[in-house]
Parts: sequence; C-alpha cells; structure tokens
Amino acid sequence: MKNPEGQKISPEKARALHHLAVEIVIRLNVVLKSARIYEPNNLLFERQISLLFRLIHQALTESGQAVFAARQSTLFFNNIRLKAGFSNYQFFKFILEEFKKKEIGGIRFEPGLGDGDLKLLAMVLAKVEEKPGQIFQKLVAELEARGISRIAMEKILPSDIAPSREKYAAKVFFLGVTHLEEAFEAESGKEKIKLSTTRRLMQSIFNHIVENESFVQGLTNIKNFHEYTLNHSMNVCILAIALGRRLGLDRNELVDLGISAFFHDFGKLDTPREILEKPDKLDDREREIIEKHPYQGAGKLVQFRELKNLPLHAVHVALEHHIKEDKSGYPRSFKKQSVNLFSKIVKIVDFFDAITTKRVYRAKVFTREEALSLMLEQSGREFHPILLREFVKMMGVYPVGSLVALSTGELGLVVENNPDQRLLLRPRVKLITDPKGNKVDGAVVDLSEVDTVTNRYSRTIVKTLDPEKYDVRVADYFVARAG
Amino acid sequence: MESKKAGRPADSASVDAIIDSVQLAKVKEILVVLANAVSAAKIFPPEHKTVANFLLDLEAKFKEYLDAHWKLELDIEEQAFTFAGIKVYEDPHPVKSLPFFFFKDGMKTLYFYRGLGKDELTAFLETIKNVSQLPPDESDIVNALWERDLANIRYDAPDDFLETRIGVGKPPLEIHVDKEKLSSGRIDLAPEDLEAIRRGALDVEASAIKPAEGSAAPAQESTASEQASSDEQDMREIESLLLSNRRISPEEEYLNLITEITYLEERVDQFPAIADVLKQVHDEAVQKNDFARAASLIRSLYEIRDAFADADEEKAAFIKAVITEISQKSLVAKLPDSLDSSKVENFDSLLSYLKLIGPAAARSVAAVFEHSHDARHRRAALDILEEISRQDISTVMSLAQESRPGLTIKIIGFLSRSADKKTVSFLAGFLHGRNKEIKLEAVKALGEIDDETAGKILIGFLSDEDEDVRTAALRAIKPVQKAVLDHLLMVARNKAFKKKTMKEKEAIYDALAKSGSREACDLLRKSLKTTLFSSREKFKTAIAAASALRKMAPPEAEEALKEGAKSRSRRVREACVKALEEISSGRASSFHKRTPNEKP
Repeated sequence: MKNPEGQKISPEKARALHHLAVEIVIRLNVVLKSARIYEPNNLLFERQISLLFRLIHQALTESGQAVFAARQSTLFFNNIRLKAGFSNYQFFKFILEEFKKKEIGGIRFEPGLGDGDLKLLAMVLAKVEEKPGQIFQKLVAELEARGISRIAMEKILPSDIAPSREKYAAKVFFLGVTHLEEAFEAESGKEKIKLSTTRRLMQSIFNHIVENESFVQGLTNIKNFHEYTLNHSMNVCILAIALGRRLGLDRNELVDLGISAFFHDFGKLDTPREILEKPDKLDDREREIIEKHPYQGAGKLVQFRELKNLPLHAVHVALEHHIKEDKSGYPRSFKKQSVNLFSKIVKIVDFFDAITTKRVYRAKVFTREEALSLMLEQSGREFHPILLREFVKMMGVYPVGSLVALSTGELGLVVENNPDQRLLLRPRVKLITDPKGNKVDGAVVDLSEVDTVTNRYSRTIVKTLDPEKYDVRVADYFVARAG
Repeated sequence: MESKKAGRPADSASVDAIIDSVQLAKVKEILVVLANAVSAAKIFPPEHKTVANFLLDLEAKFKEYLDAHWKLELDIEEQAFTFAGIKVYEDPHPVKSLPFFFFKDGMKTLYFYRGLGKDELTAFLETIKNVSQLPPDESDIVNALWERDLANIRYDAPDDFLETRIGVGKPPLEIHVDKEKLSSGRIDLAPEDLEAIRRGALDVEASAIKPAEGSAAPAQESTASEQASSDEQDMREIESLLLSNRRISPEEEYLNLITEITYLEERVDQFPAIADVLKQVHDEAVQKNDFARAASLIRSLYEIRDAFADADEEKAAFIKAVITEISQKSLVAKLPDSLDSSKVENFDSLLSYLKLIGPAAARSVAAVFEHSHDARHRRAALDILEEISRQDISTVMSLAQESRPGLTIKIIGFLSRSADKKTVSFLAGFLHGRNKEIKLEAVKALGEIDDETAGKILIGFLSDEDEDVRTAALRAIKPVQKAVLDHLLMVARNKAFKKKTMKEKEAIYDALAKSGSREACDLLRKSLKTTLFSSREKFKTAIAAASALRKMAPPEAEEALKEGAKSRSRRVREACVKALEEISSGRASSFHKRTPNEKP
C-alpha cells in the first residue's frame, strides 16, 4: 500500500484509512439522501455537508488524495478495496447503486475542495435525471455549469452496466447445478473434479450476489429441480456466500465458503436413493446409514486434497454440518472439540433451505418466514445465535420469494428487502394479482413509497400466504425475470 | 482521475475518437515492455536485475501513459491485444503468447488505471508467473487475478466462459417458464385467508401508519448510529469468530479431520483410500520436517487402534497395518541428509516422532545423536536406540560401525546390559577391528557378560596387536573356564612372555591369580625364583608374581610367598613379606574390588 508520493504506508495507517473511508461512505449516504428531501439552505442538510467535508478534508490532508472508484461492484477508496461489514452493508449498497444509476465509475475530490462544492455535487446528483446512457454526460455538464473544478468524475465501465445481468445470474445458477452433477459423476467414475472451474463458478456467484443479491436470493426459490441434492447444494452455496458476505468474510474466504457449501452433501452420493427419498419414517438402520453421509463426504473430499484448489474448510463443512451448536447431532466426534465457523454458517443455510423445500418424507413445508421463526426458536441449541441473527436480518422479515397479501387486496412476491433496517416491513414487491385476484404481470412496487395525496404508505403487507397452497411457483417469477 | 472533469470531454467514446499515433505508439511500447517483463519474471527470481529493470521501465511507461489518459483498456483476442479496435500487440505462439494466456481463460478486456504502481505491477507479474507454472487443469489467470483483487488492474471475463467448461456436450439445464400462465388466470384465496387479509387491511387503515418515521435524513443518521451501537456486541463476537477461524493452522486442522474420518469410517472397501490419505499426510509432514504433526498422527492412530481393539478387530488390524506401513516406509530413511542441512528446528518433536516409528527410525536416531550438539538430545537419542534394541537388536547392532566410534561405543555400552545372546557375537565382530576405543569398550562389555562364549572371545582379544587392548582383555577375563586358564598358562609360559611389558605381565599374573587354581599358583611360585644373575626384568616379574599371589590368597599362595620371603633378592623378599603381612593383617584388598570390570 502506497501513498500518492509512492511511499509505502503501514498496515495501521491503511486500517485507519479504511475506517475513514467507511465513515465517508456512511456520511455520503446521508448527504445524498438528504439532498433529495431538503433545500440547499436547510440547516440539517448543511450540517451533513459540513460533516462530510470534514472527513474528505481529513483524507486529503492525510493521504493527499480522496478518490472513490466503483469497479465490478466493488468500492475502492484511494486504491484500497473497501469491505462492507454487516452493520454498514446498506450504506455501501446504496452508494454502489447510486453510482450505477448515475453511470459513475469514480469520483475524485481534489485539494482545495470547498464545502460549497460538495453541496453542489449532492444537489446535482439528487436532481439529475436522464435516459440511461446519457446521465453521466448530463452530470458532467451540470458540474461544469456550476463551476465545480475540484471534483472530477470517471464514467462507469461498460461491463459494469451490462444489461440483463439477471439472465447471466440464472445461467450461472443452472451451470452450478450441472457442475455439481458432473462432480458427483466424476467421483463415482473416479475422474478428476475440475476444481479450478468450481472456483471460477464461485467467483461468478459472488459477483452476482454483489451486483444483485436479491435476485440471486430469489433464485434459491428454485426447488427440487433436476435432483434434490444438486439443487439444494446450489441454494445452500448461494445463501452461504450471501451470509458470509454480511459477516465480513473477505472474497477469498467467501469463495472457500461457497465451495464448502457446494460440496457439503457430497457424502450423499453413497446413500441409497431409496433411503434418501423414503416417504415414511426412517427405521434405526436407515437413520444410521443416512447419518454416515457427513464423514463419507468428508472422506471423499479428503481424497481430492491433492488438488490444491479445494479448501480445507470444505472437509470441515462436509463433516460437521449436522453438528448442532450444543454439540449434539452427528457424527459423534472422536477428539474434536470445536466446530468450524464455515460449518456453523452452512448448518444454518442448509437447514433453512431443507425445511422450505417440499420432500416426500416431510409432512410440512415451511414458508420462508415460518422457517426463520422456527429456527429462531432453536437459536443457541441448534444454531449459533449471532450467526442465526445475522441470517434472519439478511433474509428480512419477509424473505425474498415470500408471497404477500397487500392492504390494497393485491398479491405480490417479495423481490427485494429494504436495505434500511427501519423499513424491513416495507420490501419491494412484484405484483402478481390485481385486487380482484386476477393474475397480472404487475410492476415491482416499493412498499416504502408514500401516497403524496394521503401522505400514507401506498401499500402495506397485511398477511403472508403459503405459495404451495395457491400453487404459486415462486421460482418461475424469478426465472421469467431472467428472460 | 479521469479526464472528464467539468469542461473536458465527458464521454469515453469521444476520448477514444481522438486517439492519435503518439498515443498508439505509447500503448505498443507498454505492451512490448510488459511482454518482456513477463518473460523475464518467468525465468528469473523477482529480485533479479533483469526483472527489476523491466519493472522500472514498465512502471515509468504506464505512469506516463496513465497520467495523460487515466486508463488503458485492452481488448483481448486469441493472439493479439487490441486498443480502440487497433491491433497493438500480436504473438501467434500459443505456448508463450501473452494475449493467448489471458484469452484461454475467457478474459475479454484488461483495464489499467491511473494509480497503478510498482507494487501492483509486481503482483501482476508474479500472478502471471505463478499461474503459468500450474498444470493446465489448475491454472486460471482469471481466478488468480480475482483473488489478487488489484485496485488498478481490472478485467472483464464474462460468465459465458463457464459454459465452455461446464456441461460441455450436454443439453443445458433450464426451467421452462410459461410467462403467459404467470399473468393469466386467477388466484382465489381461501375464505380464512381472505378474512385475515380483510382484518389486516382494516388494521392498517385504523392505525393510519404514516411514513413520518421513514423520511427524514437526520433520522437516517440516528438510525445508523443506533444500529451501529446495538450491533456492536454482535460485531465484536463475529470479528472474534472470524479471527479465530483465520488463525487455524490448516495442517493441524487437516490432521484433526483425517483422524476424525479415520475414526468414523466403517466401510472396509474405503480403508485403502483412507490408508493412502494417512500415508500422504504423514509423508508430507515428514517432508516438511513437521515431526510434531507426524508424531501426532501416529499417536492418534495408536489411540484409534486401541479404541477398536475389542469392538472391531478388522478395523484395529487395518489401523495397525497402516502404522506398520507408515513406520516401515517412512521417509525418515532420508532424514540424515536433511539433518545435515540443519533443517530440523525442533529436535524434541523429531525424537518423539522417531520413538514412535521404532526400529525403522534407528538410522535417523543415530543421525540425531551424531549431529546434535545438545547433550540432552544425544542422551534422548541413546535412550530411544536402547528402546529400539529391545524390539530389534539387530538393527541397532548394524548401526555400530568403526566409522562412527562415538555412537558405537555407546551402543556397545547399553547392549552389554541386555541379556540378548546376539550381543556376544556382535561384540566378537570387533575382534579384528582397528579402532582401539571401540575394542576397549567391546572388551569391557564382554567382561561384564557372564557367558562362556564371551570368555572365549576375550581370549581372542589377548592376541590383539595393541597392548592396551590385550591388557584390558586380561583384566576383563574370568579364567574360571579350563580353556581360558589353559590359554593364560600357555601365554605365561611362552617365550614371548618375556618380551611383554611389565604392565601386561602383571595383568597376565593377575588374571591367573583370579583363577585360584593350583596350576596358576605353581606358575606364580616359580616366577618368584631369581638368582644373583637374574635380569632386572626378572626381578620385576617376580615382584609382580608376589603381588598376584597376594591377591590369590589361598593357602598354597601363602606358602609360595613364604618361600619367596627367603629369596636372595632383597626386592623379591620384601615384596613377599609385604604380601604376607597384608594377608595376615587382613588388609589384603579383595581382587574383585580392585578390578571394577569384574562382576562380584
């Protein structure tokens, strides 16, 4: 890590710079939102500008530059990659979305910057609206018109605004299922598993989650597609990466976590299908057989260890994903005292995906919100309480894919949670019926939108419904969206 | 920063439109230097002057370009880089072609940004070098650059590429969705749901929820801080979880996992695969000189074997076989070489490991003894060798060679304490050796063995060319056996006896005295006799005989001394008188006490 003069800076200084950058992101967030509401001379707005100015000034003084760059849905500040933690995730998401909307690839604040420049920038960003492809030009023209010379902008890369990324996300989902199937086949035929491809696949999943987490989460509503274990493993992989990201794992750890989740049920390859799909209760012998899959999977993965790309965590997760927080569960341990963090994460998402999936042997399929309630009841015994709490926060009060009835009488599917923690009850919803129950290809509405006439929320969720009960195939809506 | 400051061209398209030949030439220069730097980095270490020079040149060229143009965007074709649609670098050779290196992994565009410095360029070259050294199945430059996450070197590699690696030759998996059906028809809710929705809607109406809570920016701010505060404890705990997760030693964890899996595996058909993994783990640990880990594995295997000793004999036998194989085929055979190069940092771990390996590790234990300068480690190595000798004495014996006298002497030392019959023939092996110290130790050891054969072998040492060895053998010998006594008498009577040194003569007489036999006594009595013309040497011999007789002390010896006390030689007389006085006063020391080599 170097400063603009080319001198190396210490890790402590880099950490301090990261901390400062995160503060700037949060403050910029508030400033941009305030600019939409307040007039430029509003005292509250001015105070926010002043606070933001102070932080940027500090960065300029300490580092000689203050440059934000958004590249491939990652935010950089002065060449440091900024990492969102679970407590500031929403701010990062907002800034990245704003950049994308305004076609901004980067903003540079130069020495000599005044708070007036910042105020004008905020106002321009709040007001400028134009057709896609022309917003950036308009923005630059506005800045020029207002004589702002200490702020420069870079246009977003064409690859970062490529249309229909959802199509690719869905493609990656199905490629994931295919790849796992190939891995299972390779294992039975003792062929080599292409782990560099697995790694590449995980990077793609990660990139799609970073770009559009809600949509990718929505894809996990695809259930019992092709083969249960393959589909389930793909869902677990996506949810694990998404949760890991909230927890602050770095990108390489997230890829490792994804691979671990992807192969967590590898041992089921050796479990007879008639046991896996037995509709009745398993007898003791059958239960004993099924409870062997963790170590059998771990044993298989261990044999791939010579392939450098397989993370050790994958073996942990295969072995431990049925061990409960209170150390009960299976398999019984010989010496091991602790359970790996990745195993704890996968345990949560594995359980969630399993109980929300219809299976011949499962009497009740839980809706996504029912599943979260059930899991919360078992916090501490079955699941690590804090990890579970973060998972529930990530999924939201109405997880993506929930079927909801609105105060207007319309039915809708939750397609995105509100990143604002205070507005968790007000997600974005895709309308699928009109108030009379007729199916429609409705708009995606933001439940935090206010009716300007009544000054009340336009729509409010009044009940969640079981999609199974009404034969609503939630996954179809997401797949259809991918084109 | 980008040149799109207010008042400058706002759109990259317009910038691209004015690319001139100077700019193009600079891009070409950069790529030539980049290709050269990559070639150099593949051949030489990073600190090599050639690499360093290319790097400096590359950095300077990039800086010059990026200062003027903010970013360099290169499209990647199979054999070429293009810039703004113009081919700027071409290399058709697929093996060494830089464009192909990126192209083969699905990279479409490469971006270099202002701010790119030496560190990132070094990392970039290093990444290319590392990837190019991997086997084709494992190499992927996109994977590697993604993991490096360089701020000013980015790329575009579309997901389409995955389709060339996954599901090739298969119909693609997809869900067919009838979009028409999604927006046609009705959803008729059940009465109970309808009722619940109606009531819910009324509640919403009645509560008149207003968006006041969600609109103001200051509220956003306070929410942010409140949330941060309420989450702080969770955050701390999560950070601590992450930290401990990162602190895990992969090797140690892997070992733990292998142990668990070995413990849990019940399927006999999986045992060979498990055995392979266990051997691999063990060999890797030894290769890395991580003997603590190797020892830990073996200890765990012993524990597992014991745990299944009664419950599952087949598994216990499998584990035992693995331990045996690991021990016998251990790479420790190569260990002495690594010890020479001082690669072993922890001798305590090494010794613990070698102890577990047992006889197969004997050579290595010997190497530790010979290479270590720490007395504690040398002592421990000897203890292990002694323990190994109890399991496999031949292996330890084979280590005793004249070329390693220090170790051989120690081995002889502890083997003399063993009751193994092989020891005597082992010691006999030194009879014709050249190393005096070893022979002395062998003689000493033979003297401590209460065995007829040992005595016979000692007789062999009496013919040794070295007087000290012969003397030591005489001191060690127990002439209780007829053959030994006869040999000693023969030596004492032989003409060559006269030519021996006084020290050896004394030793011969003492040895004869130890027999307590009449023949010995007679011989010694005769030796007391001197004449006026006897040589000085003869007098000394007579005195030595007197001394021997004193040690002998039976009545016959006393008689002989009395005769000697009448000798014409004053010195012989005095010696005999003194001996008699000692006998009579009981001050005569026990021969056995005076010869500590002999067992009481």
